[in-house]
Amino acid sequence: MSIAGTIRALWINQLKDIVRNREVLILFFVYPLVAIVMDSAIPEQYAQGNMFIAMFGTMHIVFTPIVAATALIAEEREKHTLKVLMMSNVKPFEYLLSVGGFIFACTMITGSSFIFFGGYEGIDIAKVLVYMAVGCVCSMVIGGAIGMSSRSMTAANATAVPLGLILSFGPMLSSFNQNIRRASRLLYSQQISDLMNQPQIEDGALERTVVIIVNLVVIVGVFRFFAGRQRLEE
Amino acid sequence: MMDHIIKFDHVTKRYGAHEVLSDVSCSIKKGEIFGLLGPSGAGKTTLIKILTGQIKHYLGDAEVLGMGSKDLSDREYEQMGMVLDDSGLYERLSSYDNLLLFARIHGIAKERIAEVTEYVQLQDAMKTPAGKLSKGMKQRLVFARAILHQPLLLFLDEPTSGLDPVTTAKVHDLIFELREGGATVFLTTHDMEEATKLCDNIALLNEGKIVEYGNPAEICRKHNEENKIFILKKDGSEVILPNAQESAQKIADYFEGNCVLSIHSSEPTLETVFITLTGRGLL
Repeated sequence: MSIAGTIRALWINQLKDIVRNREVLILFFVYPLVAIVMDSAIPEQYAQGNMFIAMFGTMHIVFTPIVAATALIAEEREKHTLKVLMMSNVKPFEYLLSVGGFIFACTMITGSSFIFFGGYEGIDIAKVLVYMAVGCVCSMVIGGAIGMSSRSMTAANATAVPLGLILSFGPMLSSFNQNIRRASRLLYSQQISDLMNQPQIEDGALERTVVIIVNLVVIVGVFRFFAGRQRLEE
Repeated sequence: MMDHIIKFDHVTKRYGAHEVLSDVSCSIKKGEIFGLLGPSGAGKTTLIKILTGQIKHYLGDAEVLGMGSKDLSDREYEQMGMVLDDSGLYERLSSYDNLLLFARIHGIAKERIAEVTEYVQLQDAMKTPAGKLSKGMKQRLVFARAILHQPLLLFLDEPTSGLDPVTTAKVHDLIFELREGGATVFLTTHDMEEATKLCDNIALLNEGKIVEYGNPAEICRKHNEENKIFILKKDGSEVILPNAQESAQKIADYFEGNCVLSIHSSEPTLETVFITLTGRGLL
């Protein structure tokens, strides 16, 4: 079986499974829906610019992939379906590409509503989409590391949810507290939030890019550490 | 053509200071049903994990389908099927979708799904989510998944554990049919009756060591130290005679006098052999 064929088979399987997995499915819709409701319901004088779009867009891009990746991978480990896949000639990278690609697609498709309701135009659309995509990858890798390193689904969720909340709520809290902002500006979630809020501002673009790249490198390093430890544990 | 499908030689596995397998050696021929028999914690699952390449750090040599178990490639895995100690089913998906995923992974035509479901008699449960199947039906679904790609070698880890007698009998029939089809079966069990019924050869594993190996009937005969004949007469009394030529006339007389209720030899069961060898039971 070709790599593409295996990934396609796993994708179809994920798709069939997720429509029956309401707990995870709802994650992909909750923040876009809340953002639309808040944006339409609250008068403009109380919400500056893209405030709700940036706030819930960041939560969607950060929280959802962390929790979804954690839940799917931890469940496959706990129910031993992952082991059966590995014993059936599915390579770890094929599995990770399939589950990661699936979560990425779901997050970006439902997250594209933020582009529409945020009223972004021209080059800003591309900028926001690129940053959303990179943020989504960072979050998925965090979720993957938690899912692979946890002993059970319950333990995995107990780690993923608070971490997801800290990373996704940090940017919102930082707008009220400078001390929080000093710390959160080192996180990819803060940079994505700032960009979604004011994509036209060019100041700090280099810093923003560097912070996100450093975050991505660290996160991938952590993921590789946990993946390696799993192999050692047999 | 290789003579042995599985061969392991002086295999030792330690977890820290605890030796789970201690210098075990054995070989299994093509078309054989081999049973690894031992109580919980004896090291059966560890040995299956070594042979299937799930554990790569151990001492000694283990060969499966002519390849070292540490170096099993796609080619060998394509020829192996497994029913492990955990089902590994996608419980929200239907039985059909569970099989369809693995048919796609193995590049097998969908028509084969109908064949295996008929084989395990699960045709009526194909639309049922795997999570809603009974334990016996789940086990048969796992079986169907394991034989979907027509493997040469099947690993069955406690295949009938917790099943009712009717389903157990069905699983036994399936194992015999697979052997008839040319497959080699490696199974672990702590059920000595199952091992006696199914296996061409068994190894008794205790605390990581193989304490006896051979054909189950031959093992029982070998350990028949009493070598006596027990006759229960219709009047309730029991006669014990040596299993020798000089007893023949006496036994014939009892039968001619129509006074025999039952007659059996002192041949031990596998469980009594195991207890004799290890001083402990199989459960």
